[in-house]
Amino acid sequence: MATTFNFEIVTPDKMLFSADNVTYVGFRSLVGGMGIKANHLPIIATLDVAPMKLEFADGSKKSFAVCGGFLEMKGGKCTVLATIADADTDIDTARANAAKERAERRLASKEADVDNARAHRALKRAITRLKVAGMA
Amino acid sequence: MATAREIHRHMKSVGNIGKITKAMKMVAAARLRRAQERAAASRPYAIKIKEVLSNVVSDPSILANLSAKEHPLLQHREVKKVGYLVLASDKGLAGAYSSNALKMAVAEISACEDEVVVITCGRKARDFFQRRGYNVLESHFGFSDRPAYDNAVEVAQDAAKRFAAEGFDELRIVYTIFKSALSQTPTCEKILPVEPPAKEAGKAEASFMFEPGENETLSVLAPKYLETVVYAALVQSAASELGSRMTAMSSATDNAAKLVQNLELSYNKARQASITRELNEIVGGVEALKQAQQ
Repeated sequence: MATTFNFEIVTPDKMLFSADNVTYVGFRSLVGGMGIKANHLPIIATLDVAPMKLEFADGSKKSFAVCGGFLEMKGGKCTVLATIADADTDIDTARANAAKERAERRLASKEADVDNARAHRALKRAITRLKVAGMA
Repeated sequence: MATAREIHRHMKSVGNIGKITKAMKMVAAARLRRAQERAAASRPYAIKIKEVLSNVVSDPSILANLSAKEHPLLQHREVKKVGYLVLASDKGLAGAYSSNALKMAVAEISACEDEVVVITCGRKARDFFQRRGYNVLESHFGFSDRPAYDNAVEVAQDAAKRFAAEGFDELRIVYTIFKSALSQTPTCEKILPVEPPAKEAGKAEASFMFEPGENETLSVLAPKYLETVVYAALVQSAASELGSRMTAMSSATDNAAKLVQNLELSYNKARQASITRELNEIVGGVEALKQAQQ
């Protein structure tokens, strides 16, 4: 059996998720995708808006939509600091779809008062959420 | 002396006021409990992000080599203009909560020798500083008693933008620390430029790998850290406001009850006096009739 480690996702509002039988975390940092297993070197990674995948000792999997933040791995304990994070089971697909359409409309409209960067961010968030919801 | 009817009317209105203040007290108490829970729930994130920040800048040489462009929030400049971010309530009826925070802010501002600009949170703070002719750069309001993290992001990003554009060279925050429902202390802290917290002594830390490098991590981390600092202050202030409101409304309810009691006494006296007078008149009238018949 693979070695397990302790894993936590913390958001400003609450401790979103914690488990101590995680064997693998897959995520995307600002420079690219990476994955860590137990006994990884101490690392601090800056996260991109992307799905985060967990694998547990019993073979089950879980994903989260993480919208930016940090991952810290240190001595058998992995902590994710996310400004916004949703578990795959908590995602409201209808809302994410609506957000995606709204963002796409904004980007397509090309009006002067559209905040392009903001619409892009919203679109990326919505797509990540939908991806994660699809995995559940 | 007021007539019995007038006193009765007064009694009724005081009683109604008492009912309202009692309801407000209960609302504040319920909200206070939630605010305290929220404050407790936000603590792990704040502690962790502080820890990460101190790990990133564990080597002081990193700080010395930062470029001002990449890390505007960590940039130390000669202080010519000081910004004050003042947190007070949106609504009144919270005892001395707002006025204590504002008093503290005014004391700090008048002690400050540099040029001062103000950013306010809460309508009371905005009204106060605008009326007194301070240079108010921005006012945020509408969330003083239930701040969400998004509100903190809004306030922090606005402050960061102004700081980067040299709207001020240092930012201090005036907020109220919640100790208990009876005791809240206004305080003033410097929040910009970001001062990475000193590492706790005696803790042997492993040296970290950074993905991407320290510089990039820091440029994302610094604004996030500012957000958490602002959020913590907002949450503390909200709890203080609600605690203060609860205490104020509780004593208002007690006072109303006492007032009703006193009024009841004078009402009874007035009522008895009018009955006695009527009796006197009747008896007097009967006596007069008797004498006339004789």
